[in-house]
Amino acid sequence: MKGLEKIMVVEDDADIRDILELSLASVGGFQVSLFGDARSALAALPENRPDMILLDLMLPDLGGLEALPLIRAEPAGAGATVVLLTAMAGADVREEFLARGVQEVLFKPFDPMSLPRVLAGIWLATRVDD
Amino acid sequence: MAPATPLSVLVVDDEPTNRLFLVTLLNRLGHQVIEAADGIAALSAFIAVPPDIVLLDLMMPGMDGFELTREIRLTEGGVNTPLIVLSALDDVDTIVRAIECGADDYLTKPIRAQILTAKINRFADLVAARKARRSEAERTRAIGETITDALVVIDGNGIIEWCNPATSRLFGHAVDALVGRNVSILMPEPFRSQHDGYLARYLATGEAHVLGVRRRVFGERRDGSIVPLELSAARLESGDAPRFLGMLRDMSETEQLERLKQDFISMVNHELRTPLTSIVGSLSLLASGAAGPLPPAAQKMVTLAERNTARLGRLINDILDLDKIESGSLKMSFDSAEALPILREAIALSEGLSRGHGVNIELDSADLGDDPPCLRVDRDRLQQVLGNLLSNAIKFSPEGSTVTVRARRQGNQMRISVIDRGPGIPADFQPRIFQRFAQHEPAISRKTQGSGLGLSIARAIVLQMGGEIGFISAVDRGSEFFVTLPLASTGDKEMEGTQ
Repeated sequence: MKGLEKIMVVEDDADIRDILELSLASVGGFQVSLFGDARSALAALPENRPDMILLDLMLPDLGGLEALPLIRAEPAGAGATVVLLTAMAGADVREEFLARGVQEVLFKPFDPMSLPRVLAGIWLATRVDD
Repeated sequence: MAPATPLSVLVVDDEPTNRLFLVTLLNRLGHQVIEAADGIAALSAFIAVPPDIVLLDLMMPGMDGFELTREIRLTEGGVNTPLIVLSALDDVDTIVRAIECGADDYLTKPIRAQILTAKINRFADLVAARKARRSEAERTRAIGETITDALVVIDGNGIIEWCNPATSRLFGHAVDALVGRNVSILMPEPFRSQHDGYLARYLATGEAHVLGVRRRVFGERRDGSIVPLELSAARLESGDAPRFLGMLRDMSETEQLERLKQDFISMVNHELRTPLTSIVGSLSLLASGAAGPLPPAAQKMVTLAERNTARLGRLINDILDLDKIESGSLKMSFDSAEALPILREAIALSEGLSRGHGVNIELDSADLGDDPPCLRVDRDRLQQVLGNLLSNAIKFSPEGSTVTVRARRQGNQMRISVIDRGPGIPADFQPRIFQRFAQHEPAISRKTQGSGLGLSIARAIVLQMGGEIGFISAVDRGSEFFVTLPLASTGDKEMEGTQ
């Protein structure tokens, strides 16, 4: 089974993007591409072909949930593991988002030191059938 | 003897002796008397200050008693005033003529004091009853006109019999345009078409949906716009035909405030959590040496900053939980869960705090035996409750002491206790302990930190899980906070679901 290598980050807050880059690239050792909005991420998807997309829920152009079907419509996005990152609190919204077709929901604030392990775990869990 | 209600009596007679007799008699009965010697003087006195009763002579120079009676009946205040004619004439034609002019009663002279007294007393009762009715009607009218809620009275067919000015202001129809119309014109579809049927069904079966409760409904204004309303309806028990009173309150502003509050809460949530994410992330990376090794003093400060951002994060979560609890939108996902792993995890999560306070935590689950029962709970929410009880217990524990977490079976429930050896809860604080923002000491002098939200949230969560929360405390010996939760029935072990 293929390991998790390429992660596409879609997050509009530049500071959080920096932290995600440090966390995933420096600490986690993944190949990371960073986007500040959903449209530019969608445009880059065919070339980028990420294993996983870490998607902010609230984006300036398209919300994460609105972007999801567009990601799934792209051949390069159809099979990607999508993890939603949200500042909304509480486990009670998790079920709702999972039902919308994302593989996992993570809440802000997150711990950048353990995030690479968490994402690797999610990757493994979603690839059991491969 | 003073009468129950002293009356003002207008006495009209051109003969001073007659007047003197009447004045003396009436004063003795406790009534006020105004005298007039002829019809013109009497009429102007009547118009100036309408009296309660008029006693009048018929044969007077100038305006006689017949004409005076007719004139009084034409004045605004004189329609219902009792008029008693006192006359020496006793022929049928005169008496009939006086009554046809508007007199209520007729006494022939010479007047016998006893008869006049009896008549005055009888009319005094009528006047008092009429005054009471008028003041009640006036009160009702003033309430109807002043109240800012719309009041509508309908009959059994839904036809508006009466409504107040607020109804007109709320719906944009004139009061006159509403009376006589079916009340359904104030409702949007589909309620408009359903109302007649609903009313008929209620009258036939007594099956009521709105009577006696407050309900959110919608109204339709004259311009077609829809307005959210709160409706209270009552059946009026006066008269033989069924009638109903509806009170309608405009809820647009309240609903707008609720929406504003929701928007504010989401905004605060997002706007606080976003910078917090960067701070927590930076600190975590710093503390882990991702930006190079830290000198010990810097490490200490980073740890301090981390601890306090975690505290800030908990506070944001508590405020959001509180909002969800208040609005009744706290969602739970119930699973059948083994109790022991949840207890162990809660203890593990509190270890950082307990180490910092030099406090031990022990788990006492001996009572559960080899086949530990399962609880029907929301795992994360139970974890949150236990975390809160543990953090309180640790914060109030003396250094070197032990906090005990004990699980016991109680019939078809489990009782989970968190026991400390702290100072106990002062008696005056005990009744308030589950209230929001409850703190025993004022914020300025407080030795321990916390928002005072934790226990109120814990209580709401436990109640929603079908359990109970309580405490036993003794000053200087410690406190036991306990939660009792329903055990999952055997069938629940396989069945998982959300609720």
